[in-house]
Amino acid sequence: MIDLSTPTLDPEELPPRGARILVALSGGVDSSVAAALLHEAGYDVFGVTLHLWDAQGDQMVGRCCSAADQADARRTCDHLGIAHYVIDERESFQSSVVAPFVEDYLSGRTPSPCVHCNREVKLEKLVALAHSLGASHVATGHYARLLPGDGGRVALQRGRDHNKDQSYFLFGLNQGVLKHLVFPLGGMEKDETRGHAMRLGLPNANKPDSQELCFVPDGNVKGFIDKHRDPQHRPAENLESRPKTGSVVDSRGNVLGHHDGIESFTVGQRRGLGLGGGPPRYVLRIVPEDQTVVVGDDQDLLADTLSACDAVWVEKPTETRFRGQVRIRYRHDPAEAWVRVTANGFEAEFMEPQRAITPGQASVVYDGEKVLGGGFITTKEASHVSG
Amino acid sequence: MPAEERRRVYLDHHAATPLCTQAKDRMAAWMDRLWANPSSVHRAGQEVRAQVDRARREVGTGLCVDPEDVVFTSGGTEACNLGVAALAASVPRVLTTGWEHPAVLQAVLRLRELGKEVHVLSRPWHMGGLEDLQTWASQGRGLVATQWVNHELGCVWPVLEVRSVVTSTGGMLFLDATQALGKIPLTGEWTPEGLSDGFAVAAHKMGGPPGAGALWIRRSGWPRDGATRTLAPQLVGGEQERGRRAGSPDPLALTGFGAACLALDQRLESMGKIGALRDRLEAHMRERWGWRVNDGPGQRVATATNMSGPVPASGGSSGNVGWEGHTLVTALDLEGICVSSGAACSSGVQEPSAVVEGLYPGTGRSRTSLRFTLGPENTGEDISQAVHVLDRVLQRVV
Repeated sequence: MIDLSTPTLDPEELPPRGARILVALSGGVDSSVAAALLHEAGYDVFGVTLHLWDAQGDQMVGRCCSAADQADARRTCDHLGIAHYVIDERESFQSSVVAPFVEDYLSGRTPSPCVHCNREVKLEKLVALAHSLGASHVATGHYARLLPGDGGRVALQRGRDHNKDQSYFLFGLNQGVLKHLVFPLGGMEKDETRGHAMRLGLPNANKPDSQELCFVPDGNVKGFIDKHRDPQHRPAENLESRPKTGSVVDSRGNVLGHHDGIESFTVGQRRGLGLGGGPPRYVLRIVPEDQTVVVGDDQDLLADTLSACDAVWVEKPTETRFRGQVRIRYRHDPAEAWVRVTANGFEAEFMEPQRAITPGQASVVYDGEKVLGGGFITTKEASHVSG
Repeated sequence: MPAEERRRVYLDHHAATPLCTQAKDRMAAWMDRLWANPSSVHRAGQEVRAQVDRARREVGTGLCVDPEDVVFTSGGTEACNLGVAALAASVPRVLTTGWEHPAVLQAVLRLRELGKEVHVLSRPWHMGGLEDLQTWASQGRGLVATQWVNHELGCVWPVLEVRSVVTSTGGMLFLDATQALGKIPLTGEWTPEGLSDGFAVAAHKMGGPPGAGALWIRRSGWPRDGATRTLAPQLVGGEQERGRRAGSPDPLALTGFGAACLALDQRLESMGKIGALRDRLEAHMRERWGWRVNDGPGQRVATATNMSGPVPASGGSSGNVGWEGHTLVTALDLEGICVSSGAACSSGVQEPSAVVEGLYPGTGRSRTSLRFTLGPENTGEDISQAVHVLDRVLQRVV
C-alpha cells in the first residue's frame, strides 16, 4: 500500500515558495504528475510541450511526437487550470538528435539520442526560455534527484526508484542548467506517481509508459535510417561508392553471410543475423570501413575496459584515477571500476567483465547514488577477455 | 500570482472580438428558444425560421445589400471558400495575392485541380501590383479574389482601383471583407455591390459570435456573365439557404450576428478612440524600444498595429539580441496580455508571419513581429497596463 497522505516533495529539492515554474510536459503521466504536484504545492506553474518531430502515418503515437500526446499535455493543463504552450523545436531536434542518430548508425555506432535531446534540445533551451518567461525553474518528470552539493553546487543523483532512474540521460547538463531544474518525481517510486495521478484525477492517469524511441515508435531503426539518410550531408564519404551490402564474418575473418547495411546491427545483437542454424552467435564488432559485422559467441562479448570521449563532468574528479561505478547503457547496473580521466574522456577498468560494451552509447560514472559525469563509448578496440 | 488572477488585457481583436452588448443581450434572450429546426414545417420550426430571416434582414441592412442575396455560412472561411468557388465556376483564370488569409489563398490554389489558370500576385497593389493586374487582366477574362483589409497588418488595400481594372476588362472581383466590416463604413461606392461580385464577412470579427458568417453574391447581370448565379455548393445534403449552402444553420449565432450588424454604426464611431489608443501604444514601442511598425503601404484601419523588435541571432529563442515573436507572445500571455504573432498551425506551433515576410522579405522582421489589435472595449488603462508589462518583460533580455 502506497502512502500518499504525506507530502512527497523534498523541500531541499524545491524552489522558494510561490516561484514561477515552467513544467515540460510530454503528454505522459510522469510529467503530468510533476506539474500537478507543484501546482498543488502552490507554485505558479505553466506547461510547455516541445514540438520535436512530425510523426507520420502509423507512427503518430508515442512520446513527445504526436498530436495526441500534445492534446494529452493540454488536457492535463486544462484539468489544473494552468496555461499551456507548444514550442517548436523541430529544427534543433533534427540537427542535434536525428541527424547524429542516423550518422552514428551508418558509422557502426549505437547512439544514445535521449542524452543529446535532454541536453541540447530540451533542458538547456527550456531553462533559457523559462528566464524569458519570468520563470526561475524548469520542472520535468525525470526520475533523478538534484540535491545541494559541495560549494553551492547541485549534485545530480539517481532517482529513488532504480528501475525508473533516468540520471543516465542527464549527465551532460552543466551547473548553470542543473541549478534551475526541479525533478519532483526523483524521490518517488513509479507506483507512487501512478497513485498521485489517480488521487489528483489526472486525465492520463492510466496511460501506458512509452518504451521505444519517441521518433521511432515502431522500433524499426533500419526503416527509419533508410528514410532519413541524406547523402548530401555526408560529403566526406561517398555513399554511392560504398558497398550496398557487407559481410558477416567470424573473428578469424571467415565469411559466414551477408547483410544489407551495418545500421541494422548493434553490439550484442543475436537476432536477425541471417546465419541460419548452428550455435547462438552475437555481434561483437561493426567495422564501418568495409561494412563488416563480426560475430562470435556469448563469451566473446565480455570485455573489462572501455574508453569514452566527449566527457562532461557534473563533479570534476579531484584525482585522475579513482574508484567508481560505471554504467554502459541505460538498462545496466552500474559496475565497479577504476576510472582514469583522459584528455577529453575517460577509461574504465571493470572489476568484473561487462557484456556488450557498445560504441556510441553513453557511459556514465557514479559515486554511489551520485552522478560524477559521463561520455560516449568509442570504437577503440576493447581488450577482450580471453575465453 | 497565478496568471488567472491578473486582470487580462485583450489585444487580439483581429482573431476574435468579444460579443458586443447588443449581440450578447439578443443571444441571452433567445438562448433556449432557437433549438427547433428552421426547415421544419411546424410552428416550432417556423418561429426559429422567423429569427433566421430577421437576422438575414439585419445582416442585409448592415451590408447595404438585398437580404435575399445573403447566404449564411459557418464563418468567414466558409464564406470565402464558397464565394471563390462560385465566381470561379464561369471563368478560366483566377488571380489572388500572396498576402491573403489562407481561406482565400487555399481556395484559389485548389482551383488548379479544376484546370483553372491561377496567378498569385507578389507585388503589393501600390508597389507595382496594380500594373501587374492590368497586364494579367488584358490577357483575358478572369476572377480576382482578394482582401479589402489585411488581417495581420491592418492595411487598407486600394479596392476601388482594383475594381476599376477588373471591370474594365469584363472580369469579376471577390472581396474578403472579413477585417473591413465594422472598421470601414459601407457607404457610397464602398458597398458590396459597388465594389465586388462577391463579398465575405464573419460575425466574430465585428462583435458577433463565432460560428456565423455571410457571403453576399451578385445574383446576375452586370456586367459580367449575365447568368443567374447558382452557387457551387461546398457542402451537399440539404436545401438550406435556397440550395446554396446545405446543413442546418446555427440560429442562435445568426441572431447574434444580426444584432451585431445593427450595432455597426456604434462600432464605427469608436474607431477614432481606438486609433488614438493604438497610436499611443505604437509611439511608446517606437520611442522606448526602437520597434518598427510593419504598416504596409497606404492607409490602415484604426484597430491594428503590427510591430517588429530587433531581430534575434539565428537559432536562439531569446538572448541579448531580441525576442522571437512567438516567445514574446507567450511571455506577455503569462502576464495577462493577449496578443498574437504569426498564424497558428494545427499543432499550436506559431509560424513566422507569411504576410510580414512577404512585405518585408529577408529583413527578419517576420520572426520578431507582434500583432496588437484593438476593439471598442479597450481603454486607456488597458494600454497603460500593456505598456507597463511590455517594459517589464522586454527588460529581461535587452
